[in-house]
Parts: sequence; structure tokens; C-alpha cells
Amino acid sequence: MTTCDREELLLEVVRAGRWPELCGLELSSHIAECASCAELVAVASALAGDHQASMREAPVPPSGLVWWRMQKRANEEALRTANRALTTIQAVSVAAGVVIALVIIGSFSNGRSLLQGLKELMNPVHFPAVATLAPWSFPLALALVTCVALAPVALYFAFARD
Amino acid sequence: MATTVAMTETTLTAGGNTAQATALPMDEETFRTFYDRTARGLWSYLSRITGDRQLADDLVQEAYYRFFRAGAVHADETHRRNSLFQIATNLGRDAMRRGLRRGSIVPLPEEHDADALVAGTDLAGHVAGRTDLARAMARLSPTQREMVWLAYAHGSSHQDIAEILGLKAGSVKSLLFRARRKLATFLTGERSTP
Repeated sequence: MTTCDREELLLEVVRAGRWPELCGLELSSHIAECASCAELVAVASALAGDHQASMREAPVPPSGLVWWRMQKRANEEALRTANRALTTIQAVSVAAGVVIALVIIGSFSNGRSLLQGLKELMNPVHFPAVATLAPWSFPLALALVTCVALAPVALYFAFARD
Repeated sequence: MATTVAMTETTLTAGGNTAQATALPMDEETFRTFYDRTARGLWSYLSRITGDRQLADDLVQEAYYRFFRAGAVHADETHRRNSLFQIATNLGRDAMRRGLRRGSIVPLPEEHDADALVAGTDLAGHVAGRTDLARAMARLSPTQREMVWLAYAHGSSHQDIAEILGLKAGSVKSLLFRARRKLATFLTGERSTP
């Protein structure tokens, strides 16, 4: 690897657009003698010229439009993330509902009435807390149903804000 | 439903080694200023390393979006620009790989040996034709294309090139020398071909 100590200077000359007319006789004669510098000038001038031309013709959209598109895309991605979370919650809810239904149907098919099966399911012997909460069962059930219904909506808004 | 993506920048404490990061949201004005400074250069870079202008259009917007979403902390404007170019480089490489698999990008065979460059050839006297340059660039490897463009067209330092391309700073000089020699050989070959 053979390099010349004038390469930095040459690069500056090429980048400044002073090559070949305004680079000076001394530098021109050096390039004629130095293969490394001649190679550098050939490559650098070709690339610098192409760079200037491509900078002029670059079809870049206005910055305001790009900003607006980025905001829009970020919002859409946040919405998709929220929807994914909602779908997961709904799937879990449906699965839980199916399991409960199967338990009830299973109890019913064993020869007991549906009401009896439910009563057994909520037997204070199995769940002592049920006996304590018995007077509040309706408001509690209502609150539980409301929570289950509103949870996905709350999650949606939480993710949407993010 | 406004989404704000935190973009931060750091202010370096004078004379200290530790950088105190001051989180500043990249608002519209900051972004637009940064975009106006860098977009044309980024498009030029992507169009030359991929050899596909339409692909460059798409990649520019994707690069800014990913840069924006990353919300990375940058010590100064140079690091911020390097980070953007690093993202763009990776996008360009991925696009090239996909293009090669689909067959929409066909690499040209490397017919010339870089060592065959004849010393003393009056390369400096040649006037660069853009078509010749595009053909010659297409014969370089992707990393060599990226390297010569960043060094000689974009004016990046060796340190910046190492940062953008994920190379060791010490190896950039020799790799760049080889890439330059190769490109010079191809340019000479292109121009001597009738």
C-alpha cells in the first residue's frame, strides 16, 4: 500500500471544485509524476462530480410531508399494537368463557340440574369468601361484568395514547 | 391521537469525559432542519450503493422513519448523521440481498484484477463519465461501494466511515486504498472500451 502525503491536500482541492483548472502548476506536475495521486484524483473527481450532480437531481420530498407521513405511520403502528393486545385479551376471555360453559354443561350432563350445578359451584364450603360476600353478590357481579366489558376499551385508549 | 416519539440529543459538559444527556424531543422544526441538511446526500448515497433510483426513494423515507423511531442519543450532529447513514446502509444491504434473491439486481462480473493497474497511467487526465462511473461502481463489492462513496463523494472521515459501516477504524485506510485502486482500474477499463 503506497500512499502519498499530498493526498489530503488533493482531496480538498477536488472537493472544493478547484481541480483541474485552479489547483496550481506545482500540484498538476506532481500528479503527472505520482501514480498514487493520479489514481486518487481520477477516482475522487469522478465521484465528487457525480455527487454534485446527484445532489441537484435528488427527488427528495419536502421535509414537512415526510414529517407528516412519519407521524401518521407511528400512529398506525401504535394502533396496531393496541389492537393486538385487545385481540389477546378477547381470546383469553372467550377461552375462559368456554371453560366455564364446559364445566356447567359437564355438571348438568351428570344428571343434576343446571341450577344445582351452579349452586354447588358457588358452595361456601369450597369458597368460604362467597358466604361473607353473599349479600353483595349482585352489585359485585355487576361490577365484575362492567370491568370485563370496559377493560379492553381502557387498554385501547392506554395504547392509543402511547 | 398524537403520537410523540422521544428523540434525544446530548450536550457534552465542557472539559469532562462524562456526557450529560439532556433529553430533548425532536420536534418538527428540529427534524425538518436535520432532514433538509441530510436528505439529498442520503438519497445520493443510497442511489449509488444500490444502483437503483426508485429503491433509493423508498429507502430514504424508511431510513428517516427508523432513525426517528429509534430515539437514540447522539453526542453531536456528526454522530446523528452517522447513525442515519448506518441505518440507511443496513437498509441498502438488505434491499440488495432481497434484490439479488429475486433476480432484479444482477451483479456485474469482476473482470479486472485490481493489481493490474499500470503505474504511471494518466488517470488524472480522464474526464469521468457518469455512466462509466456507474458501471465501475457496480463491479465493486457493496462495502467497497459504500466506502469509496462516503470517502470521496460524501467527504466522510475514516472514523465516520468505520462508524457507519461497522468496521474497525484501523482497517478503513487499507480497505479504502484497495477499493480505490479497484475502482480506478475499472474506470480505466470502462473509458478505454469503445
